[in-house]
Amino acid sequence: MSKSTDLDPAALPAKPEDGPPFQAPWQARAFAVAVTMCQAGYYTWDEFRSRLMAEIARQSHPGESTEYYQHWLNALEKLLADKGFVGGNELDAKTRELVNPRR
Amino acid sequence: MSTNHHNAPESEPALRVKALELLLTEKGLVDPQALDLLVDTYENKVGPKNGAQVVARAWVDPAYKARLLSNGTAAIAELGFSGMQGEDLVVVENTPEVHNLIVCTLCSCYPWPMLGLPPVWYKSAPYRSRAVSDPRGVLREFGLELAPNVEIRVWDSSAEIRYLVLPERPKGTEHMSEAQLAELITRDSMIGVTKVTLDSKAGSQA
Repeated sequence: MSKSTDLDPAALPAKPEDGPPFQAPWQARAFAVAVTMCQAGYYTWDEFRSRLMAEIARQSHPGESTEYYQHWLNALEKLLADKGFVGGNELDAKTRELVNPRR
Repeated sequence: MSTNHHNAPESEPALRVKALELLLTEKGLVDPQALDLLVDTYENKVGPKNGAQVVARAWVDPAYKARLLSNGTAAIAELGFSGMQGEDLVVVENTPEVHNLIVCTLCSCYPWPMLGLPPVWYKSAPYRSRAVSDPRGVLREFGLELAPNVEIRVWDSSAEIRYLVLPERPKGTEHMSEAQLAELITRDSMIGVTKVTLDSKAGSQA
């Protein structure tokens, strides 16, 4: 018998009225980028979905669902790199630029 | 441009998404206003009220119900609903003998045009695995105890198909209008983890 309910990987996450669909603005932006680019025809939904499934499948803590949009973002980054839209190095550089803007 | 040094530093994923959006915008691949519009749509406009409207119509109009069960996508389009993750919609009907439950075991596929975005628990690993291995136990956690003779059918979303449960119309609602019925129909009942009852309040669910 396990008492550590909050770590029990078989327990469903608490189900009070769930709250908003996104827990942070970046989650909404990552969602919207993936959907609008698919709608614009840059890739099929299945191309995105297969990468999302792969990210979810290799998650280390099966009980944690808060990481969902991190998987989503990882899948999106991989897809955009695979398709040649935004490379990993390019994205790293742009991210660094946001952290330390040049004056 | 002024920088606000009092703000908490942005999280790593927030910075990466911002960088990604900037690059995609510079390349002309996304339009930030289109992103705003899409976020607003999924945060505020698309939700279980759509599905409730469809279910209520099916309860009061047997011909519509027949069309809904034979071609879900075409039938929801009659009421003006369409869009991503609704392209190949299959509606499965609950009866006194059969109870249906939907899941996406490998990720998070969900009938967006009918229900909006899925709740956190739907995307969680425990639900994704236990809906298949122990559906009766999962339903019990949602407060639904089914008689042992009721067959549970679990529908796992595939690359193409999204499912929606058509719940049973509760007894004692014969006098109700379509609009009143729609008020009773909850998101969870259309996922199949609960039933519609006279006490259900669809309005309390986002």
